Amino acid sequence: MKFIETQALHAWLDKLAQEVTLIAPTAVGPEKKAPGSRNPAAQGQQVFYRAVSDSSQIAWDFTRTVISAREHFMPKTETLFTIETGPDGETVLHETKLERPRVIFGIRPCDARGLRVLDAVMLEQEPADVYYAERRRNTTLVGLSCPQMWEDCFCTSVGGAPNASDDVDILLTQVEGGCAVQIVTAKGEELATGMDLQEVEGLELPQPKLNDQFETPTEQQWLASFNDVYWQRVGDRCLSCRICTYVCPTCRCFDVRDETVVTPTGERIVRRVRAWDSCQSVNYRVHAGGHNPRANLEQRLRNRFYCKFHYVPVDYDVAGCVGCGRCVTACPVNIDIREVLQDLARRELA
Amino acid sequence: MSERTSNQVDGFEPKIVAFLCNWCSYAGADAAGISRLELPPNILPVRVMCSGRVSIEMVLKALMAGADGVLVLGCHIGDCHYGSGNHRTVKRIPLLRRLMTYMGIEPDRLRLDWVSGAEAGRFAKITTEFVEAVRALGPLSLPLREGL
Amino acid sequence: MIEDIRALARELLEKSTVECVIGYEVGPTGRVRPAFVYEPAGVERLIFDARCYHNLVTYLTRRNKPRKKGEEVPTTAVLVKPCDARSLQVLLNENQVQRDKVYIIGVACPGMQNADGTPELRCTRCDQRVPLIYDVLCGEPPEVPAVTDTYDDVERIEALPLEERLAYWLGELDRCIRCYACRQACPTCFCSVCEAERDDSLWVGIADRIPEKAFFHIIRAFHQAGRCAECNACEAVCPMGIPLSLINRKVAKDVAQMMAGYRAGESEEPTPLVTMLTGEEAIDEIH
Repeated sequence: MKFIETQALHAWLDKLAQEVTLIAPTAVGPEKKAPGSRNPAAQGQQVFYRAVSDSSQIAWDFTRTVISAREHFMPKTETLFTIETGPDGETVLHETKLERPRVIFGIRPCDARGLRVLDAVMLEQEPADVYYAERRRNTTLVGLSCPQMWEDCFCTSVGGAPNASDDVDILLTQVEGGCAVQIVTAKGEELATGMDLQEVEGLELPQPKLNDQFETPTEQQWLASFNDVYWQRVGDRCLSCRICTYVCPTCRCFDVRDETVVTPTGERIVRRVRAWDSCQSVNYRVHAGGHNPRANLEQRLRNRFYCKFHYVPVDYDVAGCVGCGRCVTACPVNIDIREVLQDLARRELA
Repeated sequence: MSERTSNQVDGFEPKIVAFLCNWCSYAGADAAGISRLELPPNILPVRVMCSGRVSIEMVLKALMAGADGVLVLGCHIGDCHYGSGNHRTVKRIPLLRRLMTYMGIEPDRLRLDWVSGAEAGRFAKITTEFVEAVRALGPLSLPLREGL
Repeated sequence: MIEDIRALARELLEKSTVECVIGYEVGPTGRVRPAFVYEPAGVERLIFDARCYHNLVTYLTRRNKPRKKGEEVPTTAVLVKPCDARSLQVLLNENQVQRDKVYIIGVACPGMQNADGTPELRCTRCDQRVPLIYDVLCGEPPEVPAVTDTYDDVERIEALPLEERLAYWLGELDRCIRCYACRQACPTCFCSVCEAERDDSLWVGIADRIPEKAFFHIIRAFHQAGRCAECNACEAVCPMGIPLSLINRKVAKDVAQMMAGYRAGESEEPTPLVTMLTGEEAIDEIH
């Protein structure tokens, strides 16, 4: 089993940060707690995957980030291209390209697994999304195993595991004195050449502590529950705040608009902007002509569950939910995807 | 010629969007033009039917889209063509100014005043004063500009 | 108190006085959440304690239309704390909720607590323990010392030099992800199409940059001028921990200062932003 000492790992990361864009879990936000606020997010810094300049900025003891690593493959806001008038009056198109190759360090197995859904949707059919493809191609994933399943996590109920190595290029597992290192792919092999690795005989990987597993509904149960009043009952307390779709590793819906703006120096440019959209927003599914097939909140709420557990598996043959639990933690009215899944799984089918 | 301030050195010419109500301030601006009064060229006039029509979205959008200052000129209180339109303005604009200041935008970038159709000189005076006040502040902070 | 609430809810449902009782319950994983009870047997789920911080009034603007054409508007019972009751009064003033379609269960509020048991900051500056409007009051109002809200949190920001203020807000807004949770949780934000979310991008586009976010937060706070009941729902729901109450309270403070001490939801007068001048407002800030 390969092993790297903590010091050597930090040194490698410091050097890496000079050569590539190093993205790692890091604390963001004001350090001081906002006094006496109910909002848990205001109680201190939260951890996100962000570009860091050295290893001291990495939050080593994080559970999971608030927003998944998906934001680095499908950014919240992305300028796809800009169109300007050149010096001779000609039209010039600039496509936005990645400046440097990237390494995402410390990505959890569930986040990496979520990329399967994005890959299926963005790359499977022609034409592939070139912007997503470029990010995917130029990013190496160095995963960090979870020592345990955290509160709200349920990856094992949807086919994942806190120490799964399937979707990363290198997987690190924290052990005494450093990390055990599993090289998974050729890309990982190439990246690992800069690491000061040792061979350690008989190094055993600790088994992560697991949460209870539960049954998820069958395809027949999903089909049978579509028109059930259950969705109305759950939808009663939903605020349509869309936080669940924003934190999720597999959500990928977007909106594209062209904007004409005047730059601070007075030039008129057009830019095509892609930004996250959410199936929970009222006008998400509105058709040209004005008809809105998901005008009601419960229809939109229901869609979130069906998309993850029925449409994506049926259309792309991949699990649509990775069980990261972010939506459970984030939902302000405690709409718990685990509760919904277990409620539906318990239903008797006629 | 109007006096130049020291900020003129960097060549900054403020862009001012002026919302003028059709019945009073726009007529006042017209009168100023007809009287051949000297007016600063920095003003982009936008005619609205009443100063009460000027929404905060319009003021903020003007600033985001490239204006360095916004001027709202309406009828004097009691003279509004629609009766109480300017009653809305007189509460809305000062409140917006306070909120903008709180968020870090200089208060002198937004000014509300009253100019009647006969007050050509007052129009010239207010616009000149306002342009100089904004010139002294410099351009609006870059992160707030939408064209980045 | 909880037995009173449950008994009242049971009676309202058994007699079909209301179609639904909106209150609080504890979910299977121990989290407090809004509860919607449609059957008398369901009232056993209802609880009320210092964890019940959600403003339930926000759900009423969804229930002010019949579910199907030709049906009656349903009558709903809702549990309100004093802050929630203020926002309900604003909705009543603006005809967003019909008084005879809402049964107001007022609760004497013990003050809300954070997850660690400490009192929520906003409750330490509030001595309104009994809602100003209710059909029935449940619970004994606790004795609390009189306290005046000095808006010192707002004043702390006001006292900063302008450049520092700008830097502070740019830093806070940078974290905003335009999820609109604040708008959704707010009981007095009920526009069917939000100005900041128009499909034609009239005012702002869909990008997540500072200008768009600054625009949204400034206009949202302004649209709540004289209407914000300071219930803190917006700040409580923000996933990025942005101190939104500092913006809304600034506007509330200014409205009170500029417009004869007006506070939202404490009378049947609508926000002074829409009323005519009657001469008493000393607004001399136009220059």
